[in-house]
Amino acid sequence: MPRQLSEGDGVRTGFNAQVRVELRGGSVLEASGNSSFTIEADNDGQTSVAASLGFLRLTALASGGRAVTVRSPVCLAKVRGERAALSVVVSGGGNVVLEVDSGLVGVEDIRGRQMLLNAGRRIEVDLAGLREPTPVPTPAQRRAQDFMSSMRRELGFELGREADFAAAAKESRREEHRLGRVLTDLDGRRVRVEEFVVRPSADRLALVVLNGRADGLSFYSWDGVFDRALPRDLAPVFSGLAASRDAPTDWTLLSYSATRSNGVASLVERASGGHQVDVNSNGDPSDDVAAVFDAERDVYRATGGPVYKTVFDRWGLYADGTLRRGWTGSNLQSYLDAVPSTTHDPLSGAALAAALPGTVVNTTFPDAASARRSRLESYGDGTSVGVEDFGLEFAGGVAGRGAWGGSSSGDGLHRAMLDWGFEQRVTFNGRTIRLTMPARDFLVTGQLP
Amino acid sequence: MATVTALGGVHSFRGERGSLSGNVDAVFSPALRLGESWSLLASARSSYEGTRRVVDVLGAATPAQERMEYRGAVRAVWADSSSRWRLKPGTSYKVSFLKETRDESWGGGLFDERLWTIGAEAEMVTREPHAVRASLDWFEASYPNYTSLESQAALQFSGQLIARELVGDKLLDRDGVRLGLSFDAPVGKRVRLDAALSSLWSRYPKQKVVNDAGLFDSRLREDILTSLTFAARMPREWNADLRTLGSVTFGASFLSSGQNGYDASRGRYMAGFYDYRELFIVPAVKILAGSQHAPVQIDASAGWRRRGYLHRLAQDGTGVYGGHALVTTEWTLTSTLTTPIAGRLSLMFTVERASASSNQRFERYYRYAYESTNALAGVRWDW
Repeated sequence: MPRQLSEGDGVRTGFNAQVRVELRGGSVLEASGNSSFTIEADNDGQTSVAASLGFLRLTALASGGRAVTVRSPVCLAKVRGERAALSVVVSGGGNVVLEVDSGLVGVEDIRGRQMLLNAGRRIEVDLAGLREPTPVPTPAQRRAQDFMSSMRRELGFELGREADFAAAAKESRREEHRLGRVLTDLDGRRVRVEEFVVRPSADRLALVVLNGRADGLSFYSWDGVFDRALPRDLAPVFSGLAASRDAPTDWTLLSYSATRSNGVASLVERASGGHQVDVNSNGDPSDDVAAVFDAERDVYRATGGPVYKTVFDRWGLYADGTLRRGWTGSNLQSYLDAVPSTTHDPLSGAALAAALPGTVVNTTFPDAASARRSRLESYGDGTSVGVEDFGLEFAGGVAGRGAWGGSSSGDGLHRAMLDWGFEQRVTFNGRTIRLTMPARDFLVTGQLP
Repeated sequence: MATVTALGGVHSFRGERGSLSGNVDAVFSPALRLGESWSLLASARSSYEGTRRVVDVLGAATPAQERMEYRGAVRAVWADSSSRWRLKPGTSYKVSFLKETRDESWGGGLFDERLWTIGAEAEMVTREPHAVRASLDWFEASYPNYTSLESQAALQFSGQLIARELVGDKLLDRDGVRLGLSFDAPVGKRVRLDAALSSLWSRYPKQKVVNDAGLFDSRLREDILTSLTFAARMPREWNADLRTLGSVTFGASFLSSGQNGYDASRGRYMAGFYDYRELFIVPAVKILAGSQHAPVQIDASAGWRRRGYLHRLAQDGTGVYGGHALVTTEWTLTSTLTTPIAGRLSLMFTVERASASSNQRFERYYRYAYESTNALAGVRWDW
């Protein structure tokens, strides 16, 4: 749509738009889309256009001493001679590319430096001034440059496209570490850990800890059967497993089996006939409890009153399925009254092929510099079961002895063990079961002597 | 187009200095014009990282870490000069190898990842060079070496009570859709605004949701990660030999996960365990000094990032849950000096520092509070 423009009028074109301005003296100015310019002067003596953005092409007639100029943020182009055609590209930052298609054009930068450009020459101008002129690119060259510029932009988008996917992957990995599912073991090697509960029936509960190493799986499971259905919220159940202050728990553990295995070797502790006993009032001072572990706060709380623990009438320890030690009793109130098994299996009552040998248990801290405890159960037949506990450094390896504090047994040692990574190695029959897991799981299930 | 960056340096974490190592990153991208409107852009990227960067999962503090990545992508571009629209269908495939401990081998890393994406972007040019872009990508991420121990145990120790019903195997594998919206526009004469919104919906086909009894429901885990970013960029030419680009980026992320948490040894259930909100702000400056074609470049930025979990409780040093939600805060400072030395070759010096803190005191498995620094030097080649 033709419009009349006057001196001082500005024009801004939209996307893909084109504008053609017929100036005095026969000059013609064309601008493509997304361009911006102002007609500063267009009178009998001079024509002056200020280009501020985009692509402008000027076909200038400067006969009769008429001055035709294009001013941009960083230079001034003036037509020399009677006729010239030039194009100006002003980028967003104000830099300019000037090309002369025909005639002669004088260019002056903001520092006052001047240069004459012949037809077929091109120059870039910025705040630093005029650059070295070069030949105007051929249409093929220009096309290639535009193409490369466009593709560079697309490459930037392409490489940035992955950020969200990378963030999600990073989050997955971070959570695995935070939840303690990926640890470094005593030997500085990777060990994976998974811990969960299984509830095969309303009155049964199993706590399972799995370890995965390059050489296979190992696990610890504690599987208990209670006298009644357990609540969905297991926190109070775990709290009262080891002992209960003042009153018995609402549910009684009737039997359990605690298994350490690597699939080849297994050490299983089984018990049945469980019932709750106030061990502080059972006439046996050797089993009195002065402090009860508060599983809600992970602290031992002193008590002067009743403490209820589950006492089992039948108990046995099995290495690779073979009974190593056990006892029996009837409504036991103290393990002092338990009868050691010698010729019969304490759980099944079946007769043993050979009488059980005697047992000697020896607990030591073999390395004064390390958080390492060794418990060796030696049998009269020359066999043994060795259990070694280690405190772990964050990045693997055994912690210093100071990590476990000054205590060598009892509540003080147990409490210190909770603050460190923990690994247990069980050795018998020439095989070792390695378990890297929280010491707390052993403590809560009564498996940390 | 090609870029190769090779840097060597050291990484320190909580005052412990790692060994001298290096990082290499190479990008090669041939482009092909298929006609008046269609072009094809292929790209290949390969990287090796022996020195941890501040953007990594630093709190894991694993004894050794090396990463290799290979990514290939093809993107077709439809752009007609008479149209405001550009359409860009594309696909990519990435293989990542990660060694976190010395006993892991290349190809045997627990977190080795394969990532497929296929999708398209539509771009509408508002005012050259500014545009609005919308993209939609389908993706599938898999971890070939990650199989849950519970599923392995169910097979290996069948008959024993050491796996739950409905247990899945490839728990980290996921697929889903990413939706992206972004635009950039000038604000006044000196400022350019970039804004982006992305939403990543992930489905974990092998991961069932844990319920308050510590068992699995039949529902699958689904996550939505939404990110919103605004950046204001302010280019300025101070004089012929000095140009700067100042910017401030701020944003927020929200993760909404269908998965819950269950601490088995305490019998503690936490609904919405993974949900979080995160805010961040990153002021940055780029200084270009000297010749416009081969300037000396200084990049510096400072970042602040704070994440608050909505339902996850902070723990004390032993692991006892407190009454407050877990919050983490991270500061990062990065600076890079790039000096052209010959032709397309530049020297680079980078120093990065990260500082993290949290109200989480339970750090047996992951460090929530640390100071980490790395210093790198090397070369970059652009073509």
